[in-house]
Amino acid sequence: MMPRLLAFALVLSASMTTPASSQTAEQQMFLQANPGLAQQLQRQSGAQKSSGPSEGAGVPTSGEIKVLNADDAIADPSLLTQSRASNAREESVIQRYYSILTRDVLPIYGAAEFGQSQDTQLLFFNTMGKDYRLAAGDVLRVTLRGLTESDASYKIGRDGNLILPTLAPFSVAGLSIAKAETKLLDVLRYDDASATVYMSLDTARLITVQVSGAVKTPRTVAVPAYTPLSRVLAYAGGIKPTGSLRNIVLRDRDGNVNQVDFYDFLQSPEGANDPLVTDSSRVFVGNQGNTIAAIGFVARPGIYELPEGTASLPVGSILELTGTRILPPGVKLEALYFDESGLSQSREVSRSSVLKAGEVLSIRFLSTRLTDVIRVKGAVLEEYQIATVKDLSVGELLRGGAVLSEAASRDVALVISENDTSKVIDLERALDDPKFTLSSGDVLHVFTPANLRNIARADVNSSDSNILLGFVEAESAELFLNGSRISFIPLSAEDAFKEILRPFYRLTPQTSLDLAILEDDSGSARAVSLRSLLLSSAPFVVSAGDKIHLFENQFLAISADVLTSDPTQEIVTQKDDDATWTEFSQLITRAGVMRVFIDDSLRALLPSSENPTLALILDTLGFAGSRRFSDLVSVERLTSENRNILQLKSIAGDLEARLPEKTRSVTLYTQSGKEELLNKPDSAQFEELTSKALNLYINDEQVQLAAPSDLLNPDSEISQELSSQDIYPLFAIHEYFDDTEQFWKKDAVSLSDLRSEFFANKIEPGDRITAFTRNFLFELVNPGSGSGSGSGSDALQQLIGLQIAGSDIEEEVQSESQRRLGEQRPANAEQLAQKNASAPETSAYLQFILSVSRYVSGAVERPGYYPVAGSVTLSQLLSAAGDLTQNADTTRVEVIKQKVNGGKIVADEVQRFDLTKSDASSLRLLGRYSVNVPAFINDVATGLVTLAGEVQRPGEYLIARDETLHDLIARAGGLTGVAYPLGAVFTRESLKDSQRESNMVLADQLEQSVLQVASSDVEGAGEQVTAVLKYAGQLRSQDVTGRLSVNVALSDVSGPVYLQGGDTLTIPKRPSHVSVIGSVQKDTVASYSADKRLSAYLAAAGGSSRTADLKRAYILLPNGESTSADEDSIIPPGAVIVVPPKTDRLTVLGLTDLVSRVLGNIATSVLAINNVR
Amino acid sequence: MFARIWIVCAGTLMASTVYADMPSAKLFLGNTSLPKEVGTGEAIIWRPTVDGLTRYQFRLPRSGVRDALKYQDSSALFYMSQTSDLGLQLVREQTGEIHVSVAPEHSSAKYTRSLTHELSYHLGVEFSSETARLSLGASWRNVTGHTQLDQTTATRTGNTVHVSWTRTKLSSADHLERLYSVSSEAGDFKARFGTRWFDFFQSADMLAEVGVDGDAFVIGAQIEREIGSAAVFFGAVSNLASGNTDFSLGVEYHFGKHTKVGATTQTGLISREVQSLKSLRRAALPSHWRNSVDISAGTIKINAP
Repeated sequence: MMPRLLAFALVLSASMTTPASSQTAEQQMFLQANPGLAQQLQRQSGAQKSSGPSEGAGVPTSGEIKVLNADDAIADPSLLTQSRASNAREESVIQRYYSILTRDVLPIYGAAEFGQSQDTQLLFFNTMGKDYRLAAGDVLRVTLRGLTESDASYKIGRDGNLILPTLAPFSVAGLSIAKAETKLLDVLRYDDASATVYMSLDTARLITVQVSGAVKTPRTVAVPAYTPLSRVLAYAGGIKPTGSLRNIVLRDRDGNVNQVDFYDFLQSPEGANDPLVTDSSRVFVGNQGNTIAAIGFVARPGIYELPEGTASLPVGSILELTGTRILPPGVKLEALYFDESGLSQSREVSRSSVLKAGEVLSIRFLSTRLTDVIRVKGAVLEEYQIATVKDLSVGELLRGGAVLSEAASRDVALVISENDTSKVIDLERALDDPKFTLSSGDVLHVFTPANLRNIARADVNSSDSNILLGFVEAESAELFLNGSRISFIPLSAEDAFKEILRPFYRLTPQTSLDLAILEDDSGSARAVSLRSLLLSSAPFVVSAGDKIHLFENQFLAISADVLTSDPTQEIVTQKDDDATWTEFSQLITRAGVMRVFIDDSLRALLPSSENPTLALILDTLGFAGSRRFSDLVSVERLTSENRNILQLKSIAGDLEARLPEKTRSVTLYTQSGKEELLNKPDSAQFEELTSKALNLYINDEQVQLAAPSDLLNPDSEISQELSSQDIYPLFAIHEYFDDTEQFWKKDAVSLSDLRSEFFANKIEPGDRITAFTRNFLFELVNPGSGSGSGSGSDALQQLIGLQIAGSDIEEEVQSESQRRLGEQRPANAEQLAQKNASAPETSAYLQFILSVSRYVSGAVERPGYYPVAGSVTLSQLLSAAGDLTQNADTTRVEVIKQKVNGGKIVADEVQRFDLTKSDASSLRLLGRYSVNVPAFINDVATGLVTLAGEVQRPGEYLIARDETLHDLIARAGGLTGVAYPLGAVFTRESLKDSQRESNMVLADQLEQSVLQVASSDVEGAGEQVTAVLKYAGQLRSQDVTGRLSVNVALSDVSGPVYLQGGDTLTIPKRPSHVSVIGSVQKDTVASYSADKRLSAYLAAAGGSSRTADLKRAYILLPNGESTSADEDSIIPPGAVIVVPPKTDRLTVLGLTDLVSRVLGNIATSVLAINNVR
Repeated sequence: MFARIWIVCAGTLMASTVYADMPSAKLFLGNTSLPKEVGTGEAIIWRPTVDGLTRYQFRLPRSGVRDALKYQDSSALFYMSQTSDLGLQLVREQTGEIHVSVAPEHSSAKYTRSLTHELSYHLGVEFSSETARLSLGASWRNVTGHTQLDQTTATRTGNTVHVSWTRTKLSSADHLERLYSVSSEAGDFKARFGTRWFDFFQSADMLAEVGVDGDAFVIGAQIEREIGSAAVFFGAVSNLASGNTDFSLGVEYHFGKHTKVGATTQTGLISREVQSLKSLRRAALPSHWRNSVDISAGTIKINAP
């Protein structure tokens, strides 16, 4: 049963404690009024907390009494150490009370003084005063000098006697050390007059003090003798929060009571009453008396105990108590208290007012900034402020800039004034300008370029930096690079732009000098050339809110290699940040930036407000002077949908002219881009361009699109194209749309007409000019005369004839009919055109061209038909025909006039001109005519003859009309030593045809005869027929040589051999073989020997075959002649022995002879070819 | 070498200097003469002579001669030369000629020598039926056409006088010759007309004749074939009046160029006695060339046939 009751009691006590720890305000007041109850409560809760045995706190007072001294304390430090409980922080009720009232936990004044931990080492250095009375336990160090010398420590015995070795014990208890020393000396002097004694306290004795009352660990402690009370309290863990510092009672062994007010001790150590404790003293700490608290602008905020027996205190005393010496002006004194209903209240009090216990003196002092100063912040060596009431110049403020850090930017600074208005200044200028002053309250922010950039880049809406806000609100301009703000710029009205820009942006090679956009506060923007801005020295006004946009080439992607690298690359590199791009796009639209396209890709943005010239645009693109571009430039207006061509310009002609107003887009074409365009004639862009351009066709291919004005400009591409040497100058076709007839028409014009002012005025955008190259035109109207086949030429010749013969109508009517003809394109002309693949389209013009063609024949380079537009001079026409050859007989140039008579064109008169006397360029030809230039008669050079082989100087020889073969051989130095004159092969072109023809005839005859044989079915003829047919086939396929048998050794054998052009003489080397062909076992080339006869050669060929007709065998001599072969025959080297087949079965048909001839021809050719080889 | 062309004619019977008709070349011909400069001009002219007759003329190019010497081969020179048919011409034979004929009943030996181009004489001895008679005669010949040679001969043999006239005419195509002969000996009149086809079969010629022998008609034919220096023939002669047919087989052999020995079984065809122009055909030129042109040791020797 007993344990159950104990547990019940514990629970009960716990339930009683809990309300006490959560006291209400009323309760607090109650406690405040009844300290005894509070003490009781405190004790109760303290008993609970220290329910365990007291841990090593001091020396137990019970048990045997032992005289202890400080040595014992060293041996057992626990004798002196504070209890651990003293370290536990507790919040007392009174503290909680005041914390409710002041919302702050206030310290209890002085409580910490006695709770501080004691250093045990310090214990032994207690200063022993002269009043130290020796007692049992003290250890004295005694040094004797004289007759007897000793140096030893001696402990005073319990009886108070000191026992020295040679002396009788003598009492020192109650003596001071000096007295004890005197007493010992007196004793010693009896025996030794010279004796001296030195005595000192080695170790003091320990005394016991009982500490009780409101201390944290009430107990009896051993402390060194002569320890002050204040320190003893510390050994007891200090005074409880509920303990009084003003009511401590010290009662000594003798019953003397000493009441100590520690406030005196705390307030004034001078007159402090901190008595030394004596052995067996008792210390009692009473309960805390009435308290009052002070907070706010006081020296020592805290809870103060009122003097014993008082319940109120004047404010002045409180201030004194709290150590508050000053009360600044404007300070507000208040008393905080709980009113009757327990609500915390305050009232204003004065210095003389009296506060009651439980009230709090609150001194409110509103700290205010110094407003009469100018502050300097940021990139200075140390931030500082200067108090001033008058305005200071920036130079003064910054000590002429000496306070600025090295990295400080002198270009811009921000001044934020007291009233939050801000201003961006040019620091450099402000430093020099004494008139530029700052008022007190201003803050000058100086920046390093780096933090300036960071500030500039920050987003004003997501930054709480007042500096950024200051910049934004300041009267400043902003500088943007590639759409991002990089700096704020001070306003300016005097400086040139480059001066303004320089501090904030350094131009780099990347900077686009061609485009800058100036945007003002109202959002209106204009594009300008950065270059011209920089070059201008006129003041540039920077107003508040202005935005200067600069761009880098990389951002605009303008670089010289753009054109060559990636044609699809757009001008503005696509940003990840779409917003930037969108903003940029809007900006350039707003600013009226002109877009420069190259081959349909946006390549540059230029300010259009200045109506730049093409030269400037090219310069901007870095292509000034480059031939990369074609002349064609289209100047466009931007609409919402696309670009509309305003007009076409030419790089060649309009380079320096300003572009028209409203030009918002310019398209340049590279050579390749234009060619690409020309290759896509179906594109809409091409169609639009052709309608505005002058279209130049050469032959049938469009080669140029050009501004119409280019025609008059000799430097333009179109002019250069037309002045090419290849272009036929006398004729071109101009096609234009006739508005009245609503039809395309064409005119013949010459190139000189094209370049005339008259024509230039006539030309309209969209017109077509077709020029022709000389060769193309020549081939067209003179087919077959050159390399072309002759198949189409007849038809065309007829056409030409027809055209010329039929053109007997009036000029205008004729042109109409031609147009019809041209549109209908006669079938034969079309076929011709298809054959002539090089001119598929132009044949539409063929009739037209032919009708104006004039014939030039004779000694000109290229005789043929030449179309002319209008009248030409004779020299022009002759030049068109490639000019006169050297052989031309200029004394009798003939112009054959033609006229139309009775529906026919007939020759009129023949006019002869001596061009050595009259100037061909002054002879103007009109109407119908043809021109003939006779050539000189040439007897000296009639042709070329080739000498080859074994002549001393082989080669081609120009021969005179009467030169003979033997003359020529002599000219060639004669024959070489190894020549074989008998084998000379002399061929003549003119003989080839007849030879070939005769071979064919012969072969035909043979075959026809054989056909008859086949049908006649002569017995045994089959074999011979086969042989014969073989020869016929061979004859057909045999090359002919056109050989003429000549004797090169004898010039007069058959009269002179006159040479003809194209003749060839080949002298072989002496051969060393004889060929055997025909009806032998195997056609053989046998080696030659002078001794060999026919039979030997036949034997070399394996003998004659069964069909051989040896009787008719013959020898084909190397010179092409032949002789019958028999055993006596002389067979020279290189000869061919021909053994014909028997044709006895065929004799009836007369074939024998035919076969011989066939075989002979074959052999002759073989022989000649062999010789030549 | 070029200019040193030596043409040496070598006689077989006597080592005498002979003259070849080469006026334009101004050649000096001799067999042992020291080398002499030949005249200028690009050609050397040579006319091969056969039996005191010549027909073709070669113009030998000097360059060809040079090459022939160089290569020791005259075949090309043959064809390089210009060969002209000048027609028959008489040449005086420098040497005499001996002709021996042996037959069973009548043998003879005769030495003939030219006096001029046209005129020659002959001496001989005839053996018949154990009697031997000397004979002496003269012969006159002249060219009566391009390829026609007439010859009149009178011979006294013992007491008898034999007079004959012959004509040989080579056809234009050179493939046959016609032989005419009329003779009278001691009142016997004989006339013959013959034709010789050259290369009638293989290399053999065919000779056929018709004639009158007194008052009897005679026909005959024979095959002739030359084999090297020899010639053989076989023929038959039929007397249509008597009906006798005599077959004859004969051999002739040439010793050198000027001695001919023949032996026959019968007298044979009278046309055979008429001088043949076979050797004067174009087809015979290679044969002449072979026989006459000898190239050895750096000289070309052209022997007059």
